[in-house]
Amino acid sequence: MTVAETRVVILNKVGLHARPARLLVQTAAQFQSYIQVHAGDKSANARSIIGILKLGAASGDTLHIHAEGEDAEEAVKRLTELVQRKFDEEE
Amino acid sequence: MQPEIQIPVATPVIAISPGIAIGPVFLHRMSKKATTAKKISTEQIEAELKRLQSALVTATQELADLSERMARMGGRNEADIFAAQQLMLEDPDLLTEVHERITQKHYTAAAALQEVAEQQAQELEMLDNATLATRGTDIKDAAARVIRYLEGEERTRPAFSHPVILVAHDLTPSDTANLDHRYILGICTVTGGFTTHAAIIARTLEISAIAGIDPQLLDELQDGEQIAIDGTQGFLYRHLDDGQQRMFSRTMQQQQEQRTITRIQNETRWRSCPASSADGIAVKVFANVGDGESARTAGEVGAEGIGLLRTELLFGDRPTFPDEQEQFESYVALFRAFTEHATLGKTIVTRTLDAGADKPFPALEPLIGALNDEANPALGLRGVRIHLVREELLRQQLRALLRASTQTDIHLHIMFPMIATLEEVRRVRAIYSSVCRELTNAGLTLATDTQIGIMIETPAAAFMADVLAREVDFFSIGANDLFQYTMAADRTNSRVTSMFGTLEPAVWRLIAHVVQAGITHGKTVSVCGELAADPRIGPALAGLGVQELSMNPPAIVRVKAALHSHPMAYWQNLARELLKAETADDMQRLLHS
Repeated sequence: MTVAETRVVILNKVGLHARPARLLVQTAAQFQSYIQVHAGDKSANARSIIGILKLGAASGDTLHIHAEGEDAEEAVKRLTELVQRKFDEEE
Repeated sequence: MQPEIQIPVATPVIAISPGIAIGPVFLHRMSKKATTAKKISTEQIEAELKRLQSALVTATQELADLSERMARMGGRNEADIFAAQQLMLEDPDLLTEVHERITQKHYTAAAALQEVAEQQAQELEMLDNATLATRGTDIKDAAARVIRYLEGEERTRPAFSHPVILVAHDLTPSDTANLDHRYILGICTVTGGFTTHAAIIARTLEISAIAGIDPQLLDELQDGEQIAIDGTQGFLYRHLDDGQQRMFSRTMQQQQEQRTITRIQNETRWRSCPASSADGIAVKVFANVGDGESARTAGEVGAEGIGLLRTELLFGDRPTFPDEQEQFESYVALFRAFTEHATLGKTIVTRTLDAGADKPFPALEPLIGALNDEANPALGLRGVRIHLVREELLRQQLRALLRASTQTDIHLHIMFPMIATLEEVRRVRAIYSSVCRELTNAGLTLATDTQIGIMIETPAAAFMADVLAREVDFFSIGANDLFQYTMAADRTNSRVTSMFGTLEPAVWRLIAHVVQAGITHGKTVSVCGELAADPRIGPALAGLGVQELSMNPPAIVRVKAALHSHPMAYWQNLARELLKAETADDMQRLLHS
């Protein structure tokens, strides 16, 4: 069992809104690992879109991504990239 | 209008989605059966879970279809809403809670889902974030879809045998998107406004719609009664005589024929036709591009050039800088990706590396230190300021760009980001001239039509535009940054962005000043950024005198079609009216009138 974690700052304008949250959940769902996302004092299962939305994470907030499982490292890497790419949002 | 026809009695309402519609009323009574927490017995649990599962499958499939349909029609935000709703119905946390209520508390599936959805929606609504709070509505909307199936309402849409005008108290986004638009001539609601999702969907589906009708009408109107609506001006017409009915029918028929023709023409026409207003005044519609893929798409959708080539992606998150040769090869590939697919022009306006602020570059850190250590990165070392402290990086990029342009048949233009002073312009021009000399001495034949321009993103550059115009070939207004620096509102900070409109009078006046300076000195002014891509604001910018609009490729056909919908005098008038606006609300009203 591998454990991986990282911290990443949300750069896209709108923060974790409907579309970014959906992309995050869809990316997380591609992995076997159990992935948790923390923001401030809240945390959510990365597979739960409602949980992710309830984090209320805005641009500039730091996400703490924590994964446990066979593919934990790859999962954390892919999710971090997604956040850093600003969820492929324009400007 | 025929002279013998009496002008019908019109009731003013809110215009939601343009067009005239006439037809029989269909009163849509929402089945708001309150789901009572009916209990089931232990033996029924297994069956109830199965019923839930099958309702969920149907509903998620429906949402996937809706999302795809919206995306196909260009309603990207609406497509996102339904995709998010689909994920909500697959949410493991939500489903766990629903299952618990069924298995442990013996709730029916509908009651369980209703309670959990309400609760989750409330939690979202309590967040200190207006946009996120509205997602609560989505949870309830998604749950309601499943509940309809659970309660045996097989049809989620009203059944029509003939085209009608739908009259309802309100419509959710799902209600609106689910309507079989072959049978919906128009929509009248009591609640709703121009910017609601239901309104946006109505406009996407090209269904005429009005809102703000008297709630008493829900009782007064009879199913089948002939009414007419004007979704452009915002009027409701009742008690129509035969002549009036014929008049409205004729208008509606002409409008529908026109819409069909326009839809088909727009796609094919604007891909191969340069942009112009209805009276044939040309405005160049360019694409914002960041990589080879988007360069190809830009060519395919009819971009008349690339108005903003962002070079940041070529540098990406790499720990070290790509050397000149590697940059050269990337530029050649990118230029070719565009020219091989573009039929309307070969101009490529390249912006030199715009690092800093919200665009950090690991490769720069060893050279200029960590940018995030600055207290105010947006006001810190970025864009041209980095060029001037690390001249060799700019020289390298300019060499690679100029060399690449000689390998392809593009018209290369180069612009520098974040200019605030005339000195900066003079210094980068001197560097550019020196690089050109160096390459010419090395035996390279450079194009003679390469233009050098600057981004107007700072209020400083905008105010000095008349002075700067003398020393550059063109201006490109970076509307997003100009907005942020003018309004002193961080565009990545959702706590302040929501306080301002898409367009603010101060920004519009500043843009007008820059355009005027360009016109006076005979220099091209272009606008890139979200403003140019708006089908009303883009053409209004053209009315102001902007000669080039640069936008993300998907917006190109839309903006070309919008521009062509009116003569230039109309857009000039709109631009002038916008200059008189005192508030962002005034501007919105003008833009949607």
